[in-house]
Amino acid sequence: MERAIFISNPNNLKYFGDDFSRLYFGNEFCESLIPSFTEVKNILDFTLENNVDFTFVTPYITNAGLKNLEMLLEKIVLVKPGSEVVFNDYGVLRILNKRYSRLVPVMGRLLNRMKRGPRLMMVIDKLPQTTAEYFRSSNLSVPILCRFLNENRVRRVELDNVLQGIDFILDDLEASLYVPFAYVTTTRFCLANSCDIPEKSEMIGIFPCKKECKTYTFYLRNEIMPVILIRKGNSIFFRNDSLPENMEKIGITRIVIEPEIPM
Amino acid sequence: MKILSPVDKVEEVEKVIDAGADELYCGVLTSDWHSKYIAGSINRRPGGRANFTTIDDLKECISIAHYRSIPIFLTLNEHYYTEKQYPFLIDFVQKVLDINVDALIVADLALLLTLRKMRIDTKIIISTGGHIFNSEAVQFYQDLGASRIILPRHLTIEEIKNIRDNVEEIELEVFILNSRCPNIDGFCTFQHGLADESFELLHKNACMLHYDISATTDINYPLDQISWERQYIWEMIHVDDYPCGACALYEFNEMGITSLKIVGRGNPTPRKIADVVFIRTLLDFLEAEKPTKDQFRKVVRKLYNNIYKRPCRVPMCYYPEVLV
Repeated sequence: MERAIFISNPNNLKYFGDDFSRLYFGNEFCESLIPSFTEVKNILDFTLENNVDFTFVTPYITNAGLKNLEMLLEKIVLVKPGSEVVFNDYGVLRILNKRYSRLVPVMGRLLNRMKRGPRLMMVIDKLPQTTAEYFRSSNLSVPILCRFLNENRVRRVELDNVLQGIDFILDDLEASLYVPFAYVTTTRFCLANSCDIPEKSEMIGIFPCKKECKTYTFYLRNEIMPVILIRKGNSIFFRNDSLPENMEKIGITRIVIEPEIPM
Repeated sequence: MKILSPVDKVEEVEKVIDAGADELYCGVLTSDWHSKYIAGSINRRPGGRANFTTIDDLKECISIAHYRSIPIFLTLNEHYYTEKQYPFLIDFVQKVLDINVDALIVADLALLLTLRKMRIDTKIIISTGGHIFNSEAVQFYQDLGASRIILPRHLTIEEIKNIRDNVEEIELEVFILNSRCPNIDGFCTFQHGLADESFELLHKNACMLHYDISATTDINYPLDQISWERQYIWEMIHVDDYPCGACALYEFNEMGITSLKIVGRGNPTPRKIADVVFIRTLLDFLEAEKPTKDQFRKVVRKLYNNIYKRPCRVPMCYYPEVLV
């Protein structure tokens, strides 16, 4: 089983150790958090110096963000061809296939649509077997999708460690499992934005921010949720440290360790 | 621009057309699907109230709409279907194509690929569940046969214009009224409708529940600076209040948006009619009077206040850049 570490902040290279053979770097959730050119350059240097593989992680993205992203892709393909790029936007996949044949596309966890809402655990044992099976499966169980991904150079898909378990078999694809933080939902109406300015309480929309997500973390508790929801920036996560027993059967060949929520 | 209205009862089809709808959309949730998959709906609406329950009802609805030359689109927009669901799904698709539904609204890439393989002639619309934020993503779906894209709620007017300016020969649809979801539809994995209304904690959308909220921060930013009101905003302001994006009709008209989506499968018929009348009145005014942007927005806000009996508010504004 390959072990990778996923960081979004270069300072978190402190978590890197000999047991990791791959470094994930980037952000999946917010185009304002796409790393700077210098940060990417420094991370690439680190991977070269330490002889580890590199995976660049990208978010869903507007046209404005795509322009910035392409500058980083140019750098990566120049310095470390063969690197992986996790796409969470089919527009990014299209660009990778049009212009970056020396980068390897990996389908991000946002594009795997399995339900993650933890309150599902309060009812899943009471649901019909067919419904419970549905919630443990994914459209990645459908061969035509796996074939399409293969035709588009995608050989790996990223999965969250959902509480209800994963029970499907990938057709000619490998999977990575993110541990311990699973994402539940994301927004561009970010509640961290201006969260320390009372007069902006009702400013709910897409507005410039001060990257308050780097400062504040919110914890949401409700009796119907079996775990605490963690709201970091524009996204909500939960923590699940228990690894599934059927990883080999599913096709999971890589564990991606998140030492912190990658925001 | 066309007005796209929801319908879920045969008897309201003519009424929303009379009110000014140019296109209709709906869902069908049959008992055989519902008994197998309960909360896993076929179209993002697990409850019966928001759906027709038989294909015969849909057929009648199509007959009425087609008699008035109005197209009707069917939602097959669940975020994903599994391999085991496909025999039913393909049979269902064949049945609705046989009764001449005008378009299928899909969100799942695997279903889109399947429809392409089936070589259907019917128009394919990509749901907002297809999470399309840029023109490359539009072209990705266009390459796979989509003829219309429903853009996400989470784009600014300028970002929508930028997409419109960079794609060709594809229709774009935008949200204009109701249900301004706090999270991005296509990326939200909370499960709706896990129980009926008798069990509120499972029935309510998870984003609207009351949470005990705490926070951590680094030492330079004390917790007492946090504006807690903001952190509770989605439970205080109901998602299904009266969100509106009508001020942006001015820009949408200029940039060539094809269709305006009114959310509201499951809403009462009078509400659906009022929503269509509201948008139709504004489009007619825009066309006839050729107002300036400021003149138009004054009229929009006055009409919104009159019809919905509430002021314009940023959290309920689809395109709040027009307010700030």
